[in-house]
Amino acid sequence: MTAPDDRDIDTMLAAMLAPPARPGDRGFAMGVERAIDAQAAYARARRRFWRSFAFEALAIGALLAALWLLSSAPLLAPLAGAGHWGLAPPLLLILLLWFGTQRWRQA
Amino acid sequence: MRSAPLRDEASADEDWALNQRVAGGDRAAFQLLVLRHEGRLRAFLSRAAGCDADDLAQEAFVRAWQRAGEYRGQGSYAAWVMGIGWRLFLDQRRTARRREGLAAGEEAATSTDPRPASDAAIDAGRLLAALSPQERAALTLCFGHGWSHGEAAAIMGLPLGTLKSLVLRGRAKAQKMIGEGADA
Repeated sequence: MTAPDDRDIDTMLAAMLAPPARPGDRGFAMGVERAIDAQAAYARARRRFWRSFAFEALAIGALLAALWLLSSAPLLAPLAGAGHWGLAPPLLLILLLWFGTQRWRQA
Repeated sequence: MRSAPLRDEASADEDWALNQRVAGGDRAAFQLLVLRHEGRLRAFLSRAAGCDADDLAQEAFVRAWQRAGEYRGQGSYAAWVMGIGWRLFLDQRRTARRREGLAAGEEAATSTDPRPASDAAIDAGRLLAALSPQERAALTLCFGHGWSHGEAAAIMGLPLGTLKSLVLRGRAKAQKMIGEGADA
């Protein structure tokens, strides 16, 4: 038996690699629909996450700035002893922990 | 070297019109486009990518939905969506290689592919398992799907000369293997 000639090869390759002649697969099309819905939901969740992150970061920034201003106000110094201001770091830590868990919950 | 359905101007116009509706958010129109083109895309990707072909095809259609406004009607819709699928395949392959720490070049997927068994299973026969994904894709587009060399080059994002080389090399390998099989 001899090797096939050029035309035979082309015909064989065409037959071997031809796409199937069949009607469209509705199951696959439904899968694509679901994937589009899932991607849209994911994009919405991401937007929500970043929006809420921005607001919370802003709120924490404002809070930190307020604490700093209060701690440096000479008027309040007589009202609060050193012990009171010493509470600020653990309270801030709690605030940051809360912030972190919120982010983790929403992720 | 082009099949009749692809040459069909009316079909291309319909695709263009449907995609215009898709760009406006019409899901029903997109369903029709998916049903019209999924068979060809999945067949093409199954030759090139193997077991992940359906996932890649699905992702390609999701991208086609998201970027419907980018299709300007140059070339057919089928070519556009196949190009998306092919680029996704290349990205996936690149990521997998990086993850596996393989520093092999493009041609490493020929006979030194780490997954020869699965590659063999994806093709019409053992013959195609001996080809690189690029060669398989080039042969599939040009011989199986009837695209011209220029169209296949556009789908694969390659210069025309490179595509022609891939086709010639793949065809020569196939011919050799078939010849060896016939002589055995």
